[in-house]
Amino acid sequence: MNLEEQYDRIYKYLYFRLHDQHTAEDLTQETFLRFIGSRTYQDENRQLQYLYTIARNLCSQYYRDKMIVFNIDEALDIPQLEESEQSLLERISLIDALQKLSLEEREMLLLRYVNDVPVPVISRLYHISRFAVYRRLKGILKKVKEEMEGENG
Amino acid sequence: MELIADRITKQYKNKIAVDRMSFTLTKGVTGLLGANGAGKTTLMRLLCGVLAPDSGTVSCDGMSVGTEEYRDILGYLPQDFGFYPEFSGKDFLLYMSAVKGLTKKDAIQKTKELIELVGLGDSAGKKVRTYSGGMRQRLGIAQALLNDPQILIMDEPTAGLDPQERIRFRELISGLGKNKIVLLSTHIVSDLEHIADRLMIMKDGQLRWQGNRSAGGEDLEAFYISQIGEKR
Amino acid sequence: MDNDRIIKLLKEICSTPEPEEKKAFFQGLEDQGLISRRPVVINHGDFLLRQFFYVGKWIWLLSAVLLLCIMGICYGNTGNYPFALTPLLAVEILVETGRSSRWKMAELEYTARFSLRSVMLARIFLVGIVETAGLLVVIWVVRPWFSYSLIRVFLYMMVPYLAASLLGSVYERKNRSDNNWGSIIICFLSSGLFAAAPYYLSSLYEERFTVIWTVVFILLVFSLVVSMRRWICELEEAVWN
Repeated sequence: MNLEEQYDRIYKYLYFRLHDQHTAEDLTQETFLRFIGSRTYQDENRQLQYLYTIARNLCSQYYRDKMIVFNIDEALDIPQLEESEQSLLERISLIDALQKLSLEEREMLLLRYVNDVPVPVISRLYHISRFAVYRRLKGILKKVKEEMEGENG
Repeated sequence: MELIADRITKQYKNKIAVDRMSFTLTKGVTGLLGANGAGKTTLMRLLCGVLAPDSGTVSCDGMSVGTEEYRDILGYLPQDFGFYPEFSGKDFLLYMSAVKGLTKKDAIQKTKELIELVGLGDSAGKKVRTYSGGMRQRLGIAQALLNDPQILIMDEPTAGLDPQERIRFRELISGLGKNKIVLLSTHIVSDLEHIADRLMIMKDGQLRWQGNRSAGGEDLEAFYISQIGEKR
Repeated sequence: MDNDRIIKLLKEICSTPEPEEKKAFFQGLEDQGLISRRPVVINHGDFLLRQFFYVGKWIWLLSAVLLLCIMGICYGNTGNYPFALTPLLAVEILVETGRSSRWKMAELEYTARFSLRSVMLARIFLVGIVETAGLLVVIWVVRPWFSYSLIRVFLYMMVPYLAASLLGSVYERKNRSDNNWGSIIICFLSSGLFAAAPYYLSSLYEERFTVIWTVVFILLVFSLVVSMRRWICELEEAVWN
């Protein structure tokens, strides 16, 4: 497991939970210190699970479950390959759709598709079966899709 | 990080090579003193996870020795080793890098670094079969360091080295000992005088004494003899 | 709007500013000795590929020469004798696999990440695959020159090859020596045996015994796998005694 790569991902995760750069980085470092302090040499999935568990616990411990917020202004700032108005609209539409999801649904999307967390790890984090994870992910994407298409009429 | 041996025993036919030894190794240099035939090599092989003890356990931070993860952080220099005949010093290190799982890029870089470190810069391109005993030993030390091991186990590493090489070796080990668990075995007391933090004295498969180097006092030789002289 | 597009957009909007203190943090950890920046490790596929380049060139050369010889003799069509050459192919596998202990590299390889077992398996696999593939090609090429069916040519070629491999590996296991002369001699003897067989036991090559050849073939395959596995296990133990 590449620790530096995971640092970026945990940072990303914490950033979207807490929406503050400094706090996110502080907690990222705290996560890693705890992880390294009691790391056992188990397989990679279990290590990832442990890492994310620490991060999530730190979140709820210190910052009482702030929602995953996707800020529209920031979305506009992101340099994009396709400089089209359509891309911009799609992003805004996606953000709106995401606001309609529950915290857990947003978190699952973030973990799976942005942080590439393997399904077995997600299933253990949520205490549900792998099959349930696949089902939920499919359901969430469907919801998002319908929201986005619904908006466009 | 701790390497813990708990009452390990290994027996060959009629001889008990390692007899219920228990000890814990931590970061720093530990010297294993003992005469030839005392069981040092067997002990080291047990610690490398390569020989399984007849009874007792060896583990490191919850890792069982003998697993891939353990080998990943292990560097081992056996007492006697060979080389494929067509290899040059550099080829040998590159090959060992491959078996240790380094990427090609890392292998080339590490090989270069270590060749410099052990002072084989001029001979790296020559065939290993042309090397002197001391040069081969240095090559062996280099290969043990390829994967940046956290545990370094060396069996009679100074054998075949001339006095100057020995000094160089001691300097090298002192530097490495800071953040690694280093275990060196030897039957030459002076090797350890200046570099060992801790000592273990072995006789007939048993651990006769273990403790800090300082407890051995100024005359380590005398201390050693006194320890192995008495039977318990 | 398909799922892939949604996921792509999601990744885009989730780009975050670079964490500022990462480098310093990891440097600090390293200084404290809490982590060590060890080199990234290769996977088994890369390992196999790298081992490929360490297999001696002469092995491939010898295999090629042997296969061509077999083809040549078959073309000359001197009865069932060409089949006797296949045991010699086994020499390569046996010799190559025994390299580690022969050159006293076994102890070093054993304690490396990929370990002696992987090294030996890689060799058996690489040399075995290439030789077997070569042999299959030869079988395909020479088949028309015989009056036998493809299956029979296949069996008559493969059985001596597997038998020699099996006997050689058993021998190597029992007699751990520094050189490979033992197994080389065995291969030559097997060759001799199969050269003599068509002469003394020509009836064996008749159609009706094909079933027996098939059974023998299957048994040889299983036995060979078992024997190779045992060989590796015993070699790993042998290194230490």
